[in-house]
This record gives sequence, C-alpha cells and structure tokens, in this order.
Amino acid sequence: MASEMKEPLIHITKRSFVSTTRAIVVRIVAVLIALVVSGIFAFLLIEKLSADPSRIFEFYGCFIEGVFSSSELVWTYFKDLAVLLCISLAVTPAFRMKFWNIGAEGQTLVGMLGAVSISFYLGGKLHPALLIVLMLIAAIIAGAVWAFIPAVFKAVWNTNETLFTLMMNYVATFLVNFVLLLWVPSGNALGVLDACRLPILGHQYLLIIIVAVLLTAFLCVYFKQSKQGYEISVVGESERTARYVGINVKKVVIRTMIISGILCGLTGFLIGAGLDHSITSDAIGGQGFTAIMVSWLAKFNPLFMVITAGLVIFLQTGAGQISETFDVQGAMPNIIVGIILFFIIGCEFFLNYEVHFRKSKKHAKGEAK
Amino acid sequence: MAKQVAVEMRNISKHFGSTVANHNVDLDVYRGEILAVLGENGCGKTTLMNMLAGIYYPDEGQIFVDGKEVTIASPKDAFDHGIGMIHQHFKLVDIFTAAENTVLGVNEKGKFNIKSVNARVSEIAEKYGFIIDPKKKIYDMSVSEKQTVEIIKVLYRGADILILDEPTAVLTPQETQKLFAVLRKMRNSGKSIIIITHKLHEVLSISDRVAVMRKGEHIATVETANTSEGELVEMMVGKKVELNIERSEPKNAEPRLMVDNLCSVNEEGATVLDKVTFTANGGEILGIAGIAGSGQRELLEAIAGLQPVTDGAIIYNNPKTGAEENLRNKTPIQIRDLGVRLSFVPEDRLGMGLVGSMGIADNMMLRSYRKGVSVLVDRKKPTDLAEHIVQELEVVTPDVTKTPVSRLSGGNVQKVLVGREIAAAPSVLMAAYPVRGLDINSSYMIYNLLNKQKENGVAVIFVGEDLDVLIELCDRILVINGGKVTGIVDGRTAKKEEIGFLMTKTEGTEE
Amino acid sequence: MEWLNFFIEALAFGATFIYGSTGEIITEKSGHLNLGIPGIMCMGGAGGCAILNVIGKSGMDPFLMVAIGIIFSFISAALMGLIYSFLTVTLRCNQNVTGLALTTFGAGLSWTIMAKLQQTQYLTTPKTCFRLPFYQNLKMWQEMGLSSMQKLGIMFFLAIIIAIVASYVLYHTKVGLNLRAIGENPATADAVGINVTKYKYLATCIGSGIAGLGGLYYIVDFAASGDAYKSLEAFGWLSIALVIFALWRPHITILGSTVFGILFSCSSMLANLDFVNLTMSTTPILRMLPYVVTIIVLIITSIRNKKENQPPQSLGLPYFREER
Repeated sequence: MASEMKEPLIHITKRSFVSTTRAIVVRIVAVLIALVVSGIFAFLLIEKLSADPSRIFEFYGCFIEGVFSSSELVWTYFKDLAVLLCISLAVTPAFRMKFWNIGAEGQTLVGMLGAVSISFYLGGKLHPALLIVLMLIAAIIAGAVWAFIPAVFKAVWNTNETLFTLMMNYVATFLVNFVLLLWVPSGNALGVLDACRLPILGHQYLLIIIVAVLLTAFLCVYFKQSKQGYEISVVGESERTARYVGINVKKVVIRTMIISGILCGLTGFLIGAGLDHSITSDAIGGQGFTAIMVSWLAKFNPLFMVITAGLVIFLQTGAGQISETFDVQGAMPNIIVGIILFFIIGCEFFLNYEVHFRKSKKHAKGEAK
Repeated sequence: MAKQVAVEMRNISKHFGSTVANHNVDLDVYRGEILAVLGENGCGKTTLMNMLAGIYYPDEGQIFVDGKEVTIASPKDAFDHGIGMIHQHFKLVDIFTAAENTVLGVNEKGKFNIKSVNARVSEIAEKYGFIIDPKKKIYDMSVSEKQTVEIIKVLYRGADILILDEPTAVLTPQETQKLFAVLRKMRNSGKSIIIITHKLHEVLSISDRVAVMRKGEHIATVETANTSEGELVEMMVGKKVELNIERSEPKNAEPRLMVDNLCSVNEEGATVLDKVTFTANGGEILGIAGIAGSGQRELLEAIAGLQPVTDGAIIYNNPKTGAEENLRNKTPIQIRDLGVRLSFVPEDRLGMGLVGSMGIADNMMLRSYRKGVSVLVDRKKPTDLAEHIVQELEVVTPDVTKTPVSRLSGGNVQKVLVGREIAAAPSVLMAAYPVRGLDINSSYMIYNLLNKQKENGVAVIFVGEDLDVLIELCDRILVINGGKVTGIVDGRTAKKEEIGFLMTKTEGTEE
Repeated sequence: MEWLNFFIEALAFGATFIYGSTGEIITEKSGHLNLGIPGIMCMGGAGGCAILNVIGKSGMDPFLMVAIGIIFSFISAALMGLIYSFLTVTLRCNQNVTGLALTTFGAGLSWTIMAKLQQTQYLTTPKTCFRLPFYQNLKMWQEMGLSSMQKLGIMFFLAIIIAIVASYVLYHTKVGLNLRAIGENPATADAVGINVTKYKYLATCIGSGIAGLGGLYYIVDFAASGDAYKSLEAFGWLSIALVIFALWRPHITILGSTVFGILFSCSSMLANLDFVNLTMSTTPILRMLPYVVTIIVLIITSIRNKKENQPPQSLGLPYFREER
C-alpha cells in the first residue's frame, strides 16, 4: 500500500475532442470566477469599497453603467470595439501562419503617422478627397513597410520575428516623437489638424464601425475560401508540406505579413483621420498588444474576435467607470482586464487537457470488480 | 531456471485517447540476459518500454523491480531503480558536448567539474571499446557517435537494466556488430539488456529470450535457442506470412527518368549525393535500398525539386510527346508546368505529405488548389476525390471534411496520401518507405497499388528498408551508400547478402 | 570630468536593465519567453515601495531597511512570476499571451498601489540608505568633481554581483547545465531525470524576483522621484531587448546596459552638457538607438547562425511529456 501513496495524484492527458457546450461552459465559468476575483482585488484596493462593502453591487453595476447609461457611451463602446477589432483582425493573418507578429502597436502607429504626415504637409493645398486618398495610401504603405522588414529577415535568415516585431514597436514610438519635435519644436502636443478629417457618416464613429464589420466579413472569406488563405493554413501547419506542394514559403510569409501591415496601416489611418485628427506617440494606447490576446483567445477566427474584443472593451470601459465612481487613482481597467485574461487564458487548459485524479480512478476500478 | 528476476511488469495497460497502446501486458526480465522485445511497428513495444523508463505512466498495472513493487512516475524514478533507456530518437542537447550530455541530470556530490567528467567519459568509452571525444559538440556528431553518447549516458549512471529502442536502425553492419559485442560484454557482467527490434536476424543473433508483442498485447516469451524465424514471425503477425508479392513482367519498359551524375550538398555543406546515375523505366518498379540516411531522401527530393542540386542532370522523357526536359533545380511548380506528371509519397506523411489539422478533402486540395483563375478555392472536386479514395482504399474515417487526418491511424493516413498521389495520374511515382508503420494488410494494399501503377506504364521508384520486400516487389534494385550508387541489381536474381554487401560497401563509414 | 560623471550616471542608470535582463535571461533559459517582465518590474518596484512606505520614517537601521525593501520587492515580483509559471508551465498556456496579460495586470496594479503611497515615506529617508556607501563621503566626491559617484549605491553593486553570479551559475555549474538543457530540449532533460517543472518554476520565479529589483532600484535609488514608476514599463521592454543584445549571457548585460544607459540618458543630460550641440529633436533618435542596435544584433546573430548565440531552442514552446 505504501507504494500506492507514491503514485502521482494528478495525471494529465491530452483531450482529442472538445464539445461546443463544454467549450462555452468552461469559458463562462472562467469569466465569472474572474469577476469574483476582480471584486476581491477591488475590495482590497479601493478604499471606498473596503469602507463600505455593501457598495459591491454598485461595483459590478459600473460595468453596465459604463457602457449602457447613455447612447453616446454605447457609440463610444462600439468605436473602441471597432478599433480593437480592426487591429486584432490585422494581426491574425500572420498568426494563422504561426508568425508571431507582436508588432501591431508599431505598425498601426506608423500607419497613423503616414496619414497624419500627409495632412500636415499637404493639408489645404489639395482637394480634400485627394488628400484623403493620399493619406490612406501613405498609411497603408507605412504599415506594410513596418511589417515587411521583419518578414524579410524571417523569410531569408529565420530571424526571430517575435523579438524583431517587438523592437519595431519602440522604433515606431520614438520615430513619432522625433517627427512631433520637428513639427512642434516646443515639445507641446500637436493639436487637432483640421485637414486631417474624414467625412462623417451619420455619426462620427459610424465609419470605423462599418469598416470593422466589413473587415471581419472579408477576413472570414479570405481565410476559409480563398487560395491565399488556404496557403496560409498550410504554411502555418507545416512549412515542409508547403514546400512539398510547391508553395513558395518565403513569398507567402512576406505577402501575409504585408497584408497584416496593410490592415494595421488602415486602422492607423482610421484612428488618425477618423478619430484623433492628430497624433501622439501613445495614440494606440497598448491596443496593439491587447489585440494579440484578442486574436489568440478567439483562436484566430474573425467571428469569435468580435466576441473577445467586445468582452475586453466591455471590461476596460466598465473598469474606467469604476475608477470614476469610486474615485480610484491608478489603472483599475488594466488590473481587471489582466485578471480576466488570466482566467480565460488559463481555462484553455481545461479544454485541451483532461485531468485524472488517481484516487477516484482506483476507486472506480474497485467497484467494477 | 534459477535466474534472478530483475523486472516484472504485470497487467500493464496504456491508452492514448481512444487508441489502446498496451493491454494487460506481462513481462519478466532476468539479471544477466539479453531480452529482445519483438513486434511489428506500432505494436506497442516502445510504449511499454517507455513506461519502464518513466516517460509514460501506465493507466493500469504494476511494476516490480527486484521483487518490490515500484512506482516509476518519471525518468528519475527509473534511474533510481537502475533502469536506463536509449531512445530511438536521441535525446541529446545539440549545443552541449558529449560529456555535458552525459553528466546531465546526474546527482553527484561535490563540486561540478567538467574536466573530471570528461575523464570519466573517456574511461567508460575505453572500457567498452567506444571511441568518443568528450568535448565534441553533439551538432558536430554523426548518428553513430550520438548513439554512443546515449549509451555512455546510461552507463555513467550505473544502470544495470538497459533498454535499447531499435538501436541498429541507424547503424552500418560493422557498427551493429560492435554494438552487439558491447551488449554481450555487459550481459556477462550481470546487466539486464532489453532490445526493442523488429529485425528477426538480430533477435536470433543477440538475444537469450524473445518476448513477442502484437497489437498492444504480449503474445509469448520464448527461449531464443528453442525457436525459429518462422515461429517468431508467426507469433508476430498472427498468421503465417506469405511474402509472395505479385510481380508481373515489365511491359514496354522505356526510359522515363534519367538521372545523370547528380550531386548535392546539404545545409552544412556535406555531400549527400555523389554522382548518382541511373535510369527509371516506365512500367517497372525501381527499388532503392540502403541504410537509413544514405541519401535516399535527398535523391527523391532532388528529383521533386526540393533539394538543391550542385551538378548533374535529371532528364525526364515525356511519354506523350517524347520531348526531354531537364528538371534540375526547377521548383515543384515549374516541374508541373512543364507537363511532368511526377507524384511523390514522402517519408514524413503528416509533416510533409499532408496537413495534419485538415480534413481529407482539404488535403486532396494540396496538389490541385491552384487550378483555375478564381481567387477562391473550389472544394467540390477535392471532396468528391476524397470520397472516392475513402471508398476505394477502405479508409476508416468518420467523415471526409471535418475529421483532421492526424486523428486517423497510420495506415489510413498513408492510404489517403498514396491515394492522392496516384489520383494525379502520374508518369513517375516516387514512394519513400510507404509501408513503414503499417500493418500487414495495409502494406499489401500499398504493394498492389504500386504494382497496378507499374502495369499502367508508370515509372515507380520505391525506397524500402525491408530487403525481403524489395527483392520480391522490385524489378531492379539500386543500392545507395553515403550518397553514392554502389550497385544496381536485378530483383529477380539478387541475393539478400549481395544487397547487404552493397549497402555497406565503400571505405569505412565509421571507425 | 563631465564625461566621467556622465559615464557614471549612465552606468548607474544601466543597472535597472541589468536586473531586468538578467531576470529575463534566467527565465528564457528555461524555455519561457516572459513578456510579463515590464509588469513584473513595475510590481517589484511597487512591492518594495509599499514596505518602505511603512518603515521609511521609522528610524530603522539603514542596512535593515534596505534589506527589507529588497526582500519585499523580490517577493512581490516573484509572486508575479508564480502567476506566469502556473499559467505557462502547469496549465501550458501560450507564453506570449500570458506574458502580455501579466504586463497589463502588473502595470495596472503597480500604478494603483503607487498612487496610494506617500512619496516622502518611501523616497526621502530610504534614498540615503540605498545610496551607501559613497553617499557618506559626498563632500569628498564633490570636491573631486565626481558628484555622480553618489549614484552608485548598494543596489548598483548588487546588480553587478547578480549578473556575474548568474553567468557563473548558468555556464559553470550543474544547476546551470540542467537549466540550459531544459531551455534547449525539455524532453531530453526530462528523460535524464531532471525535474523540468521544478526548474521552470524556480527559474521563472527567481528570474522575476531579480527583474523586480530593477523596479525598486529605479524608483527609490536612481530616479528617486514620485513619477518614476510611470517609465518602468518602457524600461521593462528595453530589458527584454537587452537579452538579445547580450546573447543570453548575463555578464554581457553589464556592458549592454551601460551602452543602453548612455544612449537613453544622454538626451536628458544634453541640456547640461555645454560642449555638445544637439537639438532637442535628436532625443527620440538617441532613445530609439537601443532598439535599433538590438534589431541589428538580432539580425547579425541570425545570419551568422552560430548555434551557441541563438535563442534557446524550445523558447516559447510548452512542454508536455506525454505529447505524441
């Protein structure tokens, strides 16, 4: 019997199949537990809450209030969702190819810089429609170039793309800082550029929301039905298979990264011309990194990304409301989003693996005999 | 038999998902003996041994070492009980030296000193007659040197129960003989040695007893001295094997593919193909024999446009037009665009021939998805083809679109791959180890498919490892060693020994 | 003298990165690319400051105060490492995603904590303690024109020691051999009986703890300002860059961090250096240089393809023994 004590208590095996119900239930449970844990953190960190624990309902209420209490907030919610969704969609082509592009922050930022530069130098000198076209082209080229550089080195010399694209983000940040100092030597903020404006469709946020929807639909078709999408899947699964059937892997890697870059540039254009009408070095605000998590959580499926991006923005907005209501200094949204991400990331384990407990198994076997 | 039992395995079962790898297996190993565990590929012998070595943990059953029940939950536990395993795929750290790899994971008291480790490695090597430089990095080593490091690793730990998984698969006959001499020496000093193999002549020459496994179950353990090749084969496959592969006379054989003085180097700059010259005829099966890693893979890949060629020519004779094309250094797409109907069943089915995560239909598309000008893919034809192949070749699968091929069994995966390559109506069909890991029935189905292609006038190139099969299936057999063709023999008249001699001919490979 | 002062200052600044990248190297050697390092450094800083906030004005023995600060900083950061290793080692989650989530969480939590603390409590008194031993003879150094010597405090030397010890352990001891084997090929390490899980946990937690000290050092010692915590996240990313620059060798981070320190801090000193005539707009370019240099190093090592200088082979891949 002594030897039985030494048997591993927990034994893990890989699951071959996950039912949809299980996939949904596990994720919902994870989000619920995460909300409880967030509540505990809030209780410890928010003085007004630890002083009066009964306000905990108000705490959770903030999530609803932050998003739904006015129509303008709902618009803002969908705008933020659209921005995050666009970047998440943009990183996905590369991810599906197992190219770990974590440079969306930088690619989007240089796209934005491209667009804003055109309006800064040519604003008022050209017909507005022509200006906008040029801005779009500049943004797309800038984003594509930022993605192209690491892609070439990956394709030719197998340079680690995760580290490369990570560095490119900071090069982009300081490039924007540099350009801003050229434009405004005093070091003050650039301020709104009047020429840097897209026409407003009904509501100022409607355009980017429409683009996000179109982009989602486009990528769904692109991944599932197009020849290029098929090539991406093959390369992602096995480069050797791709080479065997005559796919030019280098070409696909570079092409796909350029597509990622173009989509990032497009998003940068929309943020620059459609929302900010200006640029700062932290204009993307870390959403380029959040997008990586959104894309991954959605298993690189554009439709699921709508849900995951929606959840993340919902939490960010709600946590922002909490900071206001409870007068919290610091970065409450990051804490709550971080906790939720831990749980959703962690719950994948229970979908991919099966945990067996030795004891219960022995017991079951005994009964069978 | 007053022999002392070293290890006892009782009622061991192991499952992987829904696959049963081992079912109620019993096995005894004595001190001072060499036990061969014999079985076809995929019969569960490696899985069973992995449980002894602590790589896997059994779902059910008990293991006793020296009569005491033990739990082997990790390789460390295995070492603690004196059990060491030399895996088929070497488990070495590439950027470490031989000595660093040897000492890895050993708990020694006192300060860590690489110099004294180097000395002890040399000492062990000398004792058993190995030659090794303890300071040599693994990435600079040949396969047999790596195996030596693996064996020294186990000896360094003072293991007295050694498990060797297919140790001779990568060795030349001379190296095999040396290894066997070492193993006998170890047995005589009281160590227990378990050798996993599916090569009968090795079993008979080295082992004291043979444990035969089939489909995850232990069939019997017999004394080597009291058994025969025939009896072992019968236990291994369950019924008497009729190695009678049909072979028709080649009809209208005409040169299809002429390889002339082909040379190639690998990424490290080492010569992998050295002036290879041969002709493959339509309506004939050309076998390629050789020790694993003698350049077979590179040769096929060079023809398929996947391996850069430094010199020579690959001339293809188009059966329809009679035109000749040089395929040298053309990409697979360029080769296809020339109208060359070249099919290739690579050795690595899921890593190269197919995409594991896709269904059968999407895998059918791999070769054909480019057709047409549309930017979108056409899934109708591939799905029809997939259904046709599933029916024709009796592929066992829940469906053709959703179930990833990686979830099919080895035999079914191979049928899908071969089916696709044949469906392309090739004029040259190359197949590398197409029956590796397949059960007897699937193997015969593949032989028949190849024969049918031959009858249709296709030039079939078959790379095999089992000489019996090569001799019975092929019309001509090309023997390759170290990237050089050492001979081309007639399959009808060739003797096994003759081929074996050619496989090892050339100046000493490893001394 | 001005150049020397500037150099010493850059050296002191660089210690932040020495901590960060030494910690990251130890983690990466176990096969885990921890992109949570920025968040971990933030939390190391916040944890240390939180305890100094309590004991800062208690008149405690300076040595004890510094020790307690360092220990708490280490523990807070190691706890972050524990979250990371639980998710990536035990639950085998994607390392990139987990790391990014950890940075989001750590930065958020540290900002919230720091906003609650009293600057005078965790900065004023502790600073003089952390700046031992040179601070005591400040007058003497000032007379020699080397007032920046005061910047080289206890934690600066600790950083150098940690980097050298880490290099020694990684490349000259049994433990280091085992750890590097895991990062290269965990299945091999497992097969020879090394407890892969234990090593991965320890490497990640100790690595994180060391990185966390960088946060404490930067806030209470080098910058010694109430806003310092806001730049920590950026320095965390720079530390990850430095790992590549140092080719995964902790002792090279000492050199690399000095270079990074010079590039990053010379802009802030331009105003004080009357012999250099650079406009303000060059500042971002200088700050961009560390990243550009890192990219160049990354490219060169990948082109040269020398096996010893590559990232650990299994970096980023989860390990599951029964994978088939």
